[in-house]
Amino acid sequence: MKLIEVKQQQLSVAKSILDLSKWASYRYESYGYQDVIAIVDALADRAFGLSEILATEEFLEINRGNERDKAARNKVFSRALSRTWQRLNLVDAKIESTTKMMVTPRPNGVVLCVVPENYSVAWIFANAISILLARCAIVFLVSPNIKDVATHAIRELVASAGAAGAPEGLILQLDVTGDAFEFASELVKNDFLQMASTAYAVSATVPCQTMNKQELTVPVVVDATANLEFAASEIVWSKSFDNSMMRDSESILLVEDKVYGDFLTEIANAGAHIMSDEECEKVREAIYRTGNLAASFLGLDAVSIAESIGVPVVKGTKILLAPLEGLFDDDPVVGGNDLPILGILKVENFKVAIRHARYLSQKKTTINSAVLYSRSTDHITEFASNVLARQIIINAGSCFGGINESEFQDFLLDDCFVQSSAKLHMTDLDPQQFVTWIKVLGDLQTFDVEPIRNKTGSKVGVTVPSYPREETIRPDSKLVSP
Amino acid sequence: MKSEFQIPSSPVDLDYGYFSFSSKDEILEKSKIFWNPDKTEFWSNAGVPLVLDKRHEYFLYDVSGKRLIDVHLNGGTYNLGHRNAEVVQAVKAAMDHFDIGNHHFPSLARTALAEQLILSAPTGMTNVIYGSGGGEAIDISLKTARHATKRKKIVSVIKAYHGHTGLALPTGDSRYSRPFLCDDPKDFVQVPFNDLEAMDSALRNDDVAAVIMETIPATYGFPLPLPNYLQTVKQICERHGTLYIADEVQTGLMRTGELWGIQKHGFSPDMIVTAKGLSGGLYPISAVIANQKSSKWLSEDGFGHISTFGGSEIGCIAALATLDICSRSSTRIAVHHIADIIGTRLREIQDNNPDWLIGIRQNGLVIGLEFDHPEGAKYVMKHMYALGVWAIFSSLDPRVLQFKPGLLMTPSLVEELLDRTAMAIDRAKKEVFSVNQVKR
Ligand SMILES: Cc1ncc(COP(=O)(O)O)c(C=O)c1O
Repeated sequence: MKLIEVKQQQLSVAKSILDLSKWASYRYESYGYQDVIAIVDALADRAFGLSEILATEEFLEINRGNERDKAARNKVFSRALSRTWQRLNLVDAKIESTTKMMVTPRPNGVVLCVVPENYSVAWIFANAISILLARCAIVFLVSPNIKDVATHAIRELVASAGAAGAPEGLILQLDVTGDAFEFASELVKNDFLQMASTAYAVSATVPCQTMNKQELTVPVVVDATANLEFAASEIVWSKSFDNSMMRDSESILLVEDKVYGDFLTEIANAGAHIMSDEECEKVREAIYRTGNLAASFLGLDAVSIAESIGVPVVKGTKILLAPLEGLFDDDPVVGGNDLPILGILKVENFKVAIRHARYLSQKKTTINSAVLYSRSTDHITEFASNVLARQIIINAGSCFGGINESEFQDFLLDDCFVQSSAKLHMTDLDPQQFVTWIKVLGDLQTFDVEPIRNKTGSKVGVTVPSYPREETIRPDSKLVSP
Repeated sequence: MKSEFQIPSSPVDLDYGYFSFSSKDEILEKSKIFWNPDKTEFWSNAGVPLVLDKRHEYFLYDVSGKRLIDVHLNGGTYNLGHRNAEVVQAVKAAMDHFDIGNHHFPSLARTALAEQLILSAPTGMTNVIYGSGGGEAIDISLKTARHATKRKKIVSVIKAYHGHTGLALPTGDSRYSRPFLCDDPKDFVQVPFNDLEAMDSALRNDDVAAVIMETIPATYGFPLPLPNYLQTVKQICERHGTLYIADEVQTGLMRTGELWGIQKHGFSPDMIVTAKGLSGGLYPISAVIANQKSSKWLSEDGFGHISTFGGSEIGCIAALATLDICSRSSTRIAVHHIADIIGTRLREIQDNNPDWLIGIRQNGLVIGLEFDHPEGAKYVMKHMYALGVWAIFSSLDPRVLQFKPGLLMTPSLVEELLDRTAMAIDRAKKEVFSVNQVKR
């Protein structure tokens, strides 16, 4: 006879954690720009330094993807992101240059981050940096499959932020026993939180009235003006990165008829295996038999997948390409983006390509990115205004939100990235979405701007007298949860 | 500043099914007739004509609909708020399966709670003895000490408050014991707080069973123990074979930022008494947590103390839920934030009123505000009430207001509380200084 259900118990603990997070965010709101930057810097440096170790741990725990790619991604998502974003001052009031209106940022409060299982460490890093820059507090929701590595990563971030003066409770972890996303939805239903950041939803960050788990589709158009060799190598790099465990990796290629043949040659040279109809059938049969992707294939590289379904490929093959006849809704190869398998469709001309991309973007509500390889300015503007994606990426792989391969390498070289980092948008994680700019109305001439600036320099967190902290709780006390 | 005005509520509905009243006046009238005439009148005269109706989280509602932020919390009974959702859920679920239980037999809930209490306590605690209220638990601790030491004398602090039951009463102020002919200076010796010499001489003859101490004397207005005072008292006790009983009825359960206030002083007492908050504010329960040395009677004659309601099983479940919430590290850290912010703001208020708010006594969320007038806290209480905050003066030192914010308060509520408090302190000052021109 259970007096209380496990789920109920978890919800109660979650509420306690979110309540604490509110306090941390309340205190953090009074921090000045320099204090915020100091915390984010410290945290990003620690994250950067641990990129490789955590990549190894992540690989060992989930046993999928590519360890080296994970390490590289961790580096980009730590220091490169923080260097890029920290030029955004999300603390002080400012005059908007176009409207000449004064605006002041208000942090949105507590953000719940559902840590995805496919790239947990990098996601933790990026969210921490982005959310803390906006002076919000974070609660990471961690599911059992990635618990060890996520716990390690979060603990390191907590320690480095704390040492740099962050208020206690600014970064918290909440473990769930079941599906993290479902649990997050439960929290939303119970009105426990206002903001969530999740790798599943359309907008990574959603004001929480509802949360839906949705698939992502990333259409890629290669037009007749594109640099085909570059496009092919970029697509193969991005699509095979960490064996396609990035959510924004390419899903379907739409290639103009005029250059289709040449493009196939280029992409084959870049490491794609172009499947025969029969081989495509094998993919559909083996991987998507139930209508959904068979989870056992997630995170495998192209060669292993090909071998296990009986498709002979040469060594070094990086992606499998499935030529399609049309965009059939019931074809699982149309639109999926979880494996290094890509559909490719020949389209008559650019107009048709746009129509198809637009069709995908309307059908699936979840187009986050759409990609165009082109050298025509007209095409670029036409594409951008017709395809309903949150970010349009031009001439770059999609998996990193538009940094291309060479820039990506630069990012890894510690300090080469700053000059090109304007490219590093990552719309999903843009810190600006965690603040609300409040308009300050009135006649600016009549008052001194200074007084309404945010309070700076008040590091409330570090002056707190030494209350007993967690370490002093007796380790044998069962009651010390969470 | 928030407005002090409340939107008038809809006409009061005082029909509760089992009973009904036609008006608030009728309640007050009948309260005087059937319940307690003096107490009923006292509050009306003090400007606090409160009859509780709804209660929710840290809010109380008078039957008129007036809303109050509760920072009295009945001495910590409502640490977790009124009708805390988690505790309510636990008690409701418990009622579908348990009742009070049979106090003679081993029990599921009593055993489970005892284990958790021992785990939560400083090292050395071995057993739990249950009561249903604070006074009863104090009585249990005192007679347990007498049994263990075979001595009769009890030493307590002047202006201490340990409850109004048989043995508890003479440990406290004679204002409460003498009218009932319960003062007993021979066996119940009292010494001044923070006075080590007095303590030393009271124990000198090796005839004292126990020293009983509130970790911070609540009803005396939370004077803080001097550094090392409590530790030294414990050492003196040890020298003289006297037991140390920590009354944690108000200071326990995370109110100081540590689960038991005594844990901040770095020693283990011989017994800890807990009540009030342990109930989650929903089902009465109290407990004595004792070490081996003091609780020998439990192995010699387990029927030594009998209490039908003591450790009732539903109470145990309320307590388990409460203890769980209080012990979460998230609660602990939140308490630390609340205490810090409130402390900072109170000092700002003090800076604006240095001649009126003359002292802030604070340990975590145990807070006493000392005013420069013999009954200063009564004035502040009245203005707080008018401004929608319920805080009570210290009966044994009415200069001091007891200010006990809840453990789970939110940032916005704390801000509102402080705004209202600042305004009330200011108004009380104006009133006192205008009627008491002599003081100026
Ligand atoms: C410190 C202390 N001990 C004991 C008691 C007695 O508790 P009860 O009223 O439950 O008998 C009180 C009550 O106010 C108290 O404050």
